[in-house]
Amino acid sequence: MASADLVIGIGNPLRGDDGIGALVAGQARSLAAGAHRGNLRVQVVQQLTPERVLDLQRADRVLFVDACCQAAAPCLQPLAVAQPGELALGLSHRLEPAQLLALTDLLSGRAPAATLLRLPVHVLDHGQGLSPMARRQLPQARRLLLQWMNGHA
Amino acid sequence: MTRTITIDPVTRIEGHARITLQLDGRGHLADARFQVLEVRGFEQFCVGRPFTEMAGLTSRICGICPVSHQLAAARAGDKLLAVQPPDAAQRLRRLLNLAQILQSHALSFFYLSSPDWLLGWSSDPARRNIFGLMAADPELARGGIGLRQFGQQVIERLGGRRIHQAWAVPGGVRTPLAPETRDWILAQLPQARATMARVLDGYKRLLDGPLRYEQRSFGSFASLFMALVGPDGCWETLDGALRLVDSRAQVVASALSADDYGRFLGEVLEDWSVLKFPYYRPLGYPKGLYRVGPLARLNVCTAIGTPWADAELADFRGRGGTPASGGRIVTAAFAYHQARLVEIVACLEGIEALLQDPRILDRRVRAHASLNALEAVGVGEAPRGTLFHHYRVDDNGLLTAVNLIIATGQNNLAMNRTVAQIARACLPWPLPASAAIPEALLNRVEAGIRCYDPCLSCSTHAAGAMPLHIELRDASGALLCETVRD
Repeated sequence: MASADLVIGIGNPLRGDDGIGALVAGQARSLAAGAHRGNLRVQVVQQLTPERVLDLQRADRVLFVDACCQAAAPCLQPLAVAQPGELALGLSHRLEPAQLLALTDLLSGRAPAATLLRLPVHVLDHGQGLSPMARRQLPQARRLLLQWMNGHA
Repeated sequence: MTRTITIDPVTRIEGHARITLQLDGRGHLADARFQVLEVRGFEQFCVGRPFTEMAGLTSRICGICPVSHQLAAARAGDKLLAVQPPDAAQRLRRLLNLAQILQSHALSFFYLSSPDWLLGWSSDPARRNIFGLMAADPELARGGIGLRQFGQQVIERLGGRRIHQAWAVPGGVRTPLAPETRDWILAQLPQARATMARVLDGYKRLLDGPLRYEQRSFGSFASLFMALVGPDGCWETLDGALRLVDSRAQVVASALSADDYGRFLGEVLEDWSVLKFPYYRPLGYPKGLYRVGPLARLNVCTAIGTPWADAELADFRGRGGTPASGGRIVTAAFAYHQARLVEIVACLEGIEALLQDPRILDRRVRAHASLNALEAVGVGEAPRGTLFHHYRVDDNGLLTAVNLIIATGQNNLAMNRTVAQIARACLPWPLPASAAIPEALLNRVEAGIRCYDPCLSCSTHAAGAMPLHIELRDASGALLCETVRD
């Protein structure tokens, strides 16, 4: 039986390149529909909040797609569950992917296998649309997305 | 020598603020201030935009209560068009607002406030969050997460997305309700009800035990309370008229129209905070202190109008009602938390009642018209209290003036009073000049603010990092010591 896969695109499409996570997650939706991959769900969020745990509980694998100022090129990075010393929340209700995994693990005793697709970004000002530099990353981001969807990551 | 203790910013609220405790020369509390320091300026940059954009624009003020702004803007738009939305549209707006109140209350109660009392006032601040809650009471955490998700899913299924929708518009809503969406929501209700039954049972045990003191005296003082009520005086979230009651259960004013808010509400700007200080004009400033939000709504209404919520309202009044009001009015700010639970029950029952009426499926959901008025006030009950949107437009429908009176602002005077009251009750007076303030005591002061669940994103400021900064200052304002936690 195919694994239950979940893609979560993170970011705000109204803040320039921060919307790249949502855009690439949208590509995952199209690719899944084209390949009749009914086992893949796609979500787009501006930030991760605790109730996402209920979605992760139902997944065997999860791919977080997020903008990253420090990344030089698109890359897939395995994600581990956050350790007890990494659970400070900055006193708000917004979570990092590893923290969401930890919360899922706490709630259900298991967390899905998780990967982060980090996408380099350059312009995070107000406004829709990606910068030319961010747009140039899209073909490689799509290749990595397909790699993950095909179970090679 | 006097000194000042500052908690900056206040944590587990929506936005950035600071609490300052000013001490006099004998080490006693001289003044307490809840200070909001950063301007966001929505009222200014909306000027010049078409009023038809306001529901979409103002829903972006806040990620917690976008629905409330959207609805207030749409209702102001109804008046500018001089139309009455179709019956189904009014029901759908009400459904949306109930889902909004439910999810926001769940966030406040479970994610932000319950760690204080489940983990203890003196517990490690780094653990006072959803992870700590999960470790201390996984069932409660699971239930809270589920409730918030349910409210958000209702909003998403109605408006197309969980936050920043633009579904409510002047004249109605964009799309009718599909039968399958109605059926899906109805199917989720039994689990949400079961969760609330468990949560209420557990919380009442806490109120009977370790939280007995807080429930009766935390932020307890006489004040006015204001909220919308229906024609029969019942709990209301969208329509109806404004009513004010005092702490002795006397109706101070009733049948007030939001259109006339300038007649009975005034606003003052102090030089030490950018958050305005609304007050009840007939009593003047600051004597006209009033409170809004869940506590106020339950104090103002005669009943909620649904069986389970009315039973919980009776329990709420039975536990916290003051003798001066014949047990009718609850004055402790800590009771905001129980009030939120009562309102979640009211939302669940209200959602069910709305969905069981087939009229909500009517396909006619929007009235169309051109501009027919140049000034309007939209009002509604947001999770944190009454929300006003006041617009003036020119002949082309472009905004020439915008005034937003936010619930958090209306509770501003009360939050300051609450901080002072809790500080007086909880800190060791006179305060030794060099003593560090115990975490448990500082957290209580801070938690007094959290009772009101202030949303500074709405009232002034974009959300940002929220570390805690505590300063101790002398009479001249010189810094004696400070603590920062990230």
